[in-house]
Amino acid sequence: MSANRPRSPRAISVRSLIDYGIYVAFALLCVALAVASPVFATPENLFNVALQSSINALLAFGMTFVILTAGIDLSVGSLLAIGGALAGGLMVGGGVPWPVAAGAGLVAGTVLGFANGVAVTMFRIPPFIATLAMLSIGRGLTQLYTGGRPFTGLDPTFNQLGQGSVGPIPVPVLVMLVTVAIIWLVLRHTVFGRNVYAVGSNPEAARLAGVRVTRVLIGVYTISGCLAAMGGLVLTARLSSAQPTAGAGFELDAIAAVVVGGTSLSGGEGSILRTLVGALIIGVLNNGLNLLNVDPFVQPVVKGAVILIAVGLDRLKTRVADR
Amino acid sequence: MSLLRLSGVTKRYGGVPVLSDVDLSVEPGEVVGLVGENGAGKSTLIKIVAGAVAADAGEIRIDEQPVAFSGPADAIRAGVAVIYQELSLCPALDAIENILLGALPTRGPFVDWQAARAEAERWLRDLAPGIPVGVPTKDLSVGSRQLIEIARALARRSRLIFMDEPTASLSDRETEFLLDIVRDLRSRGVSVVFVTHRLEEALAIADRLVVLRDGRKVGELAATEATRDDLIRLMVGRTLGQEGAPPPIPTTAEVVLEGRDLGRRGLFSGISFQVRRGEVLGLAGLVGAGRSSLLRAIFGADPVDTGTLLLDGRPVRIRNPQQAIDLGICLVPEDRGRQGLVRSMSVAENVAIASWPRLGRLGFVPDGAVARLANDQVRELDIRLRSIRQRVLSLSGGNQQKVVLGRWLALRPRVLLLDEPTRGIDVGAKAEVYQLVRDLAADGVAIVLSTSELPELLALANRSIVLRDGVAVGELPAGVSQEQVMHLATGGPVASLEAGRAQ
Repeated sequence: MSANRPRSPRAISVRSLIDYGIYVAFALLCVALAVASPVFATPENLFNVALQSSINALLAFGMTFVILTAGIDLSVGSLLAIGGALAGGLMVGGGVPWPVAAGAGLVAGTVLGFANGVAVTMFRIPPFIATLAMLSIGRGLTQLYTGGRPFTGLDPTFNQLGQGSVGPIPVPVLVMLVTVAIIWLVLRHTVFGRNVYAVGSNPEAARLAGVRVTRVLIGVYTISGCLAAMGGLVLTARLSSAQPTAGAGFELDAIAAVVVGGTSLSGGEGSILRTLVGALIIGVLNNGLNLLNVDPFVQPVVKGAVILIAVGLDRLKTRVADR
Repeated sequence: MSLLRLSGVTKRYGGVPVLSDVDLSVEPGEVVGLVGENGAGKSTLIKIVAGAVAADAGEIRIDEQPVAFSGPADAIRAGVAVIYQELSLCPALDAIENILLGALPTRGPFVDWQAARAEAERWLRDLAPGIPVGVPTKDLSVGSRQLIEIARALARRSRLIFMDEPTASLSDRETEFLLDIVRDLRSRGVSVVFVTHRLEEALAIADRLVVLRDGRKVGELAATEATRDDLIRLMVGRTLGQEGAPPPIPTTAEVVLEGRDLGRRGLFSGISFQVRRGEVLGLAGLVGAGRSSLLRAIFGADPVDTGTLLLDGRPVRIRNPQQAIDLGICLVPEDRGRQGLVRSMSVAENVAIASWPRLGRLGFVPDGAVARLANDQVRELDIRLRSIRQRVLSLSGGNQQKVVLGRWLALRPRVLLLDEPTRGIDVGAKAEVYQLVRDLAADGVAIVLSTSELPELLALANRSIVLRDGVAVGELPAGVSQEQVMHLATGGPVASLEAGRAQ
């Protein structure tokens, strides 16, 4: 039988144009803001935007893994809090050296993320419910551990993780960039990464092909938990204190970044670079609205509208592509 | 020494036996044709050999060694590959990744893409050199996707490949090509179990034929000795022709539903038809020929781009299913589980759901009225159940289908659109559905019946339209042969095709 071509060449080019639309949109947004505000395009401000986006980006990176498998992780805000609180508590109360304390914070987030994965796979609890429960459990554990009070007086070296810079680049931005590079490699060039796409695209096909679907799913929730805790460490270092209420509601911004980037909620399609751009778009938007003195009460409305437009365009793209 | 030997394999689903004590052996380099009607247990047998489901009893031996598969990975390691009826590719991934799914080559921690591409191209080269490897498979044709699955089986060095209805959605030319590939595999010493209900194919390709009926092996024949009639007799447990032809329709009966030049971009075009009171109009054609799309469009589930629909001679525009139902047009969809039933609801609710507007009082639906309605239909259609409060999915396939039928019959429809009404239901229930269709027609309901089972078409339809690639390629009266229908459906002489297009 003759192999048939993937539709017409023209359809492909139209499609790839829409495919890269997110990058074009990001560029246009930056140009528009540069024109509207003289401050926007200054190097200080751009680094500031990147700095403000970095924590959301870390959460969104983990969320990307989960969403690529058609799941969702609502617990990232709580796992961020628990990671930061445990690290802060060990440093302040326990006199533990900061690298050990930070490591413990990471482990805590990772273990709870693993628990999410177990709940979703072994107990077949829908991801929405399992991670909603973890959102509550994680927040409760944080409050219990901290007694509702912040930990202050952290190791100054640790605080560099949030406040320091290497040359002109703030450390959190560096963390974000290194993380995105590693994740890009993992998703693009490792068997685990490809299995994430395969499971998201057609779990039954992946299973029948011998992919260990359960392991892949547990893996993505574990990674999401670990990255959330990492976000917690960076946030704690930036604020010089571990706040029990840190990260409340952050899961929504993380999901928004992934979705605005164009990663499909139905799984199998998307990329980590898209999520980075998604997080930066949200960061640029926040920054730009502030620079333009937009009423702070109006800002969430604009953000919501951007999410709707981004996803609406994505659906439109699918329809055009299916023609 | 046999490559594969099954003995006494038995499987039940919810107490219903789907496989009873089945024995099957496959020799190295042998092609076995596994035939049987829908619901005969072919797919279940395949899933057991693939390690996707576990048998309740029986033994699997490979190279005469007993094996126990705890999952698909075990079967793959043992050299067994399955090409499923619903293609099991990841649509978002390209051919390379799909061929090497679960077995990507690595160098250190990373995927070795160069090796992966070379490997994938090596396996595809013989099969279909023209398939672009770097494109998501959702952008390829069904035929290409199937070849990618075969390449996957080869890439795993499979010694035994099960193909579940591999030609169901292929054109004639593609089917020929596939059969050549199977022959080629055989010459390389690979064994193939070819599952089909197209008997000509089975006879053409297989060395040996195994017939399943109602979960039992009812026959095993050498291909050289078997005839089509033997196979049919074994498959259905009786000879064909017992069904009898449908009664003739007086040409004076008024036309109830008429379509003129109906079209929907990319799916079907230029379709015209008439259905009279009491008539059963058959829609024949291969899977993917546009039959389901046409019925869905008539029902208002999908829009039409061109053409007019007339009810009682008056043009109507149906924009959604609710309008169709209000006009007395009902659709029994193809996929009972996904489109026909509300899976989480009871039998009673599933029967009553279309009647809610009629039964409702100020927005409330009285339980008593629902129960009365459901009980009426249960009695009328002889639906076998414990209670109308039972979850609908706990019924057998045939009874589930009667629930869907009962839902519409409660509305006393004037036009009934049936899409594969007997798919996946057992022979007994099938006969009941046939009788029901005849009774409804006798009561004056106009019926459009879409089916891929030719005996069903011939037993029920007063007249049939044959679709191919979304175009009507011919109209046949009752009493034609299966061969005539197949001829048109699979691309007969160009003349008839052109005639069809010209209409």
